[in-house]
Amino acid sequence: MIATLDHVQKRFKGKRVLEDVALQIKEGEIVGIIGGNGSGKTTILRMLAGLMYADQGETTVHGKKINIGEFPGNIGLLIETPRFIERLTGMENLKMLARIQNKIDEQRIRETMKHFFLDPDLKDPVKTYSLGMNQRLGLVQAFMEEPKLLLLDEPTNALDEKSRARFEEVLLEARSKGASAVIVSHHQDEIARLCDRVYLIEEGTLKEVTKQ
Amino acid sequence: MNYYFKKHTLLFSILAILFAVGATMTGIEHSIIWTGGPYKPGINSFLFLALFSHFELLSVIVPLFIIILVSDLTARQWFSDIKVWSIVRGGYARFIRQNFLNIIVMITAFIVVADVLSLIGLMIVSGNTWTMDTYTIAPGLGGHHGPILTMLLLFFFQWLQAIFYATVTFLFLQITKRRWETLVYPFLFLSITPILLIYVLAFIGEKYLFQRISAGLVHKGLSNQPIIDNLTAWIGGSLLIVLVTFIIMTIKRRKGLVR
Ligand SMILES: Nc1ncnc2c1ncn2[C@@H]1O[C@H](COP(=O)(O)OP(=O)(O)OP(=O)(O)O)[C@@H](O)[C@H]1O
Ligand SMILES: [Mg+2]
Repeated sequence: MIATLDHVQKRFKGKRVLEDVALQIKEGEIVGIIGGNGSGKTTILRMLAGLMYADQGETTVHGKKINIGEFPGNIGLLIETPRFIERLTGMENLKMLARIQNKIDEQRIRETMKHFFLDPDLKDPVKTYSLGMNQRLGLVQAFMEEPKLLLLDEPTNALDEKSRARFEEVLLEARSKGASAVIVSHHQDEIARLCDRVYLIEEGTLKEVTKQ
Repeated sequence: MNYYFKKHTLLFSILAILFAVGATMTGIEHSIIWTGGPYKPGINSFLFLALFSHFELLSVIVPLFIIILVSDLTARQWFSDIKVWSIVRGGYARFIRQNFLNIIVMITAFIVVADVLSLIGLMIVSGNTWTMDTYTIAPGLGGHHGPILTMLLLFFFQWLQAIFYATVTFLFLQITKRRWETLVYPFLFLSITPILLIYVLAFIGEKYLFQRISAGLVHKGLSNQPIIDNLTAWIGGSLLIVLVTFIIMTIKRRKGLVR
């Protein structure tokens, strides 16, 4: 298992968001989560990323329990609309992040940007990016270092058809290299097409739904 | 130098130049009113007067400069997703350590650059005269130390003071959500706290107004008391603020780092 949630409960100021959630993600698997607004999808991704903690229950990633104050390494994260440093260019933002792990070189960043139809040499700051450009830059950020686990919250938000198709390509390619992914989306068709398994979250519980 | 610093250099340069202009103006003022005496003050003593005397404009705006610089260096990361993405990649401790290091390096560089520019400015208006008379450099220290040691002490206090202002800014970075808040609140804090301290700790006396602590160095005195006052105020103050910051960071981290 690359990631699990076990009997997870979470409430915000007394309001129960997750009642008793169990989730298993195997290696090389793409798992989808669907559910209405405010049902707790983003909360689940944040827990897997170590950005939020369950009140009860256990979260594991890469086979290790996530304790308070710890973060699972080797994940690609895109939660809601990505916010970069606005006065830097896309390339500068990505380089800043890539330097932390020093896993990839500039060439790899350039390739990933081009893959998502972004010009690596664009001198404009992120402030001037369109919604779709910003989202694609967020995707480059999540994919560029080839993490073992991708946590993607509505990844195709604001993307046009062409970019959406490219995203699917990149995701499937990542899986073929052994990566796993959790994808939250409101697009049923997309989820059905991409995911090996799909969960529906409703009234604080997660149920696996059979794909039609 | 990385991109993040590069974008920061414009603001850094502008503030360093304003700093030098402030110091030079003090020099002009005091050159004119200088009425003679055994020792003609040099550009070094003018600089320290500008920095530490609470009658000089520069000593009042330096805290603001430090706040602006620290905010510009950190807030853009903290209030974007870069913070979370960095932590996910390199861990929490490393992110905080990097932030501290960046702040310390930037402040040290700022002080060096701003002081050198100030000395150049002073040199232009009053010639290349340095005073080696310890009592003229730092009257508050009563001439007890050699000129070199005295100057080193004063530079060190300038640095400590800036570090203190930086810790205050970093503290407010933890409890605010917008960039302007990391400018306004630290400045209000630095302006109001000393006044409150006077009332709360009436017995300590008004020398604990922030600016007046330093002023002890450059206004007439005969003892080493200003050294002790400055060490206590800036190191003690910084440690206290860092402690509070760490408590807040720990609480926030236990709650979860989400924005
Ligand atoms: N940090 C927080 N503080 C308080 N309440 C929160 C917090 N994060 C989420 N919530 C609440 O938890 C519930 C679930 O939020 P979450 O963002 O996980 O929903 P979601 O399924 O992602 O919704 P959407 O489809 O609109 O993105 C919501 O009612 C939300 O108000
Ligand atoms: Mg959501």
